[in-house]
Amino acid sequence: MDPLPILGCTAVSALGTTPDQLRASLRAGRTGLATGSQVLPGAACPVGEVRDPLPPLPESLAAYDSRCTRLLALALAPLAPVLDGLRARIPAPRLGVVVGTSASGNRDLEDAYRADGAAGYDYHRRQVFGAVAVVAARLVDARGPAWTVSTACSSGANAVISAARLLRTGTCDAVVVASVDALCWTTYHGFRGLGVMDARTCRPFDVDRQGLNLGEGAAAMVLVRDRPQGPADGPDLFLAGWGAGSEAYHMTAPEPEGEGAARVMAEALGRAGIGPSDVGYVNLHGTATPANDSAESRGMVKVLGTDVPCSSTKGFTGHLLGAAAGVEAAITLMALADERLPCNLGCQTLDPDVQARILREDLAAPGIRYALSNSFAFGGNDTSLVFGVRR
Amino acid sequence: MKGFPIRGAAAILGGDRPLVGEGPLPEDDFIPKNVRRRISRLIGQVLRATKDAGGLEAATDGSLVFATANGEINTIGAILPSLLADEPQVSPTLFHNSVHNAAPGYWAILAKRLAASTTITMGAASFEAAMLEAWTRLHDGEPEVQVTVGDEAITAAAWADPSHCTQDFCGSLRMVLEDDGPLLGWLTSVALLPDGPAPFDAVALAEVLEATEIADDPATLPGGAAHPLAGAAAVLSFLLRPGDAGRLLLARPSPAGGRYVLVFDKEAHG
Repeated sequence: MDPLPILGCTAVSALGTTPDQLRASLRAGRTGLATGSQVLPGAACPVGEVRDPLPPLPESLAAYDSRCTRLLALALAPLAPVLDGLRARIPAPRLGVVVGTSASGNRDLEDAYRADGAAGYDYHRRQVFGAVAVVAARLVDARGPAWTVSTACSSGANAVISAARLLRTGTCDAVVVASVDALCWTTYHGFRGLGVMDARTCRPFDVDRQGLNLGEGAAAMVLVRDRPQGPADGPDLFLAGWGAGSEAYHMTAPEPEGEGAARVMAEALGRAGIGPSDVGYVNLHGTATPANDSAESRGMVKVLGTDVPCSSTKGFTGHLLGAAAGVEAAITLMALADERLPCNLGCQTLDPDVQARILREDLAAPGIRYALSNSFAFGGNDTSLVFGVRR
Repeated sequence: MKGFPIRGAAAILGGDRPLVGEGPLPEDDFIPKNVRRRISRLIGQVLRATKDAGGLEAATDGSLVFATANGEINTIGAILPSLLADEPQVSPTLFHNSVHNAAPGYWAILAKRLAASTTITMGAASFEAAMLEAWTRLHDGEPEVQVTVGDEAITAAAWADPSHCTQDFCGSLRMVLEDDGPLLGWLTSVALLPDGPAPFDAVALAEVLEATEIADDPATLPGGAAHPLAGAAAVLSFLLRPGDAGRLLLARPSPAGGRYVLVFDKEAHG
């Protein structure tokens, strides 16, 4: 497919709210995971919590206020200069919005339910999942198609794919793609009930990994059909392709041989028109559950062999669920722009069953051109995005 | 170009009746008993409608777009009380059933489908947004796209306004890229019109488009129950009802602004 230029990309996570904070933590190998959560007080397992203040939404959007929409607003705000630049050539009805989320305002609903059975809670603005797309569209003044994509932990990636089709078919000239999830007790106790949470800091691909840690955050990027003329601030980053498919295996467990993961990675390469030797990095889903990491490594090796450097960055951020793909896309794009690959934080003793080339330390990658970012979800919903850079 | 052929459609009203026709739906053993015990009403109806619209005969690389306004709202309602315990325990089944893509996940497993699926949600314009997503998939070369919609009556979520959705409704439309067999009709066009200075006039637009029927921001299912997917019910009722050929104009405001305008053509069938 023809590459789709990316004009700006932001990420809000436990590592901070700015690219400099994100880069500094990735370089230093400094995790954002910690106990002592303020959002989930008393939670025994570490979480990746956004500790920066979350400004309230503008007065006109106050009815939609939640921790989730505040995180979303924080991720969208830095895109204002890019969007202002686009408005001269793209009318508002040609600007679309697609947002991925898996829990929307659930954290606020839980508090309201505990207080008074949520008697006065405005579910249809503060919780209903479509509301996050309404908030995003109003914040960026987009008048084109806008909707929410919700496919659990691959929501952010399916949002990117949905946006790409709006551009490829000429339905939009630019699309703001975002993804967001706030920590909440439902997912915390839900994953505990599934027996896939680690009470320690998570250890993706470690022989002693016991499960995931949850995180929260948001990410946003501007995808366009055509790159504007004129000098660019940095290297040209673009979406080169994607793969998406179903495992048809189990609602929560991955197919153990990694067939589903392999299928979407192979499809992604095919759509991008590149081969395994063109790929310089893979940001793995790498939740640190025993089943995911084993299956994903097998799938990765089937398609890309054992030489392509790869890492899970969930040891830095935790698993951001619906926002995971968005934040990990931002990390992947930063790796392409900086020519430096983040390490797989938390892996002390590599699982001998893992054949993929897991990066124990960050790595310089001069001349890197393409990188993949994998996201897999409940229901066997698998995705792989391909990003590229031109210097 | 007449748009995209509609190869199959199905719709379930109130959980056990066809949208068009009389009496309860016949027994169906597509969903094994051990699965039936674990799933929500919504998941069960989505599986049934997707199958009845011909999903099992679909192209292996045809994708599924699921649209829902409230998702598993009653499942969330069942989980919340368990969070108040001193040692909260959330049922793993309720937890994985609570995600918006639970139904497409079960569909892939039961139908053994490896193709992609996604879930689109946008309040009362969820169906219309999903149809635009499907339109882009077909234009992008996918050979077949099935759009399944569903929302349950809000029964186990006292904190949500139950008047938004007072009856179960689920439906499915299967569209293909190429016309190579008998058809129900056509998805002729999908567009989002920006808000303009003049009020939207569905009647005037229908005259220009030579539509024989108009569904202008429908709020209720046949029978009068409030439902956020009433637009889908209008379309499926139009397509499935026996009768002459015709053209339906569906208009629906998006919660984010603008108005979806969809045009469907129907083949005569008895």
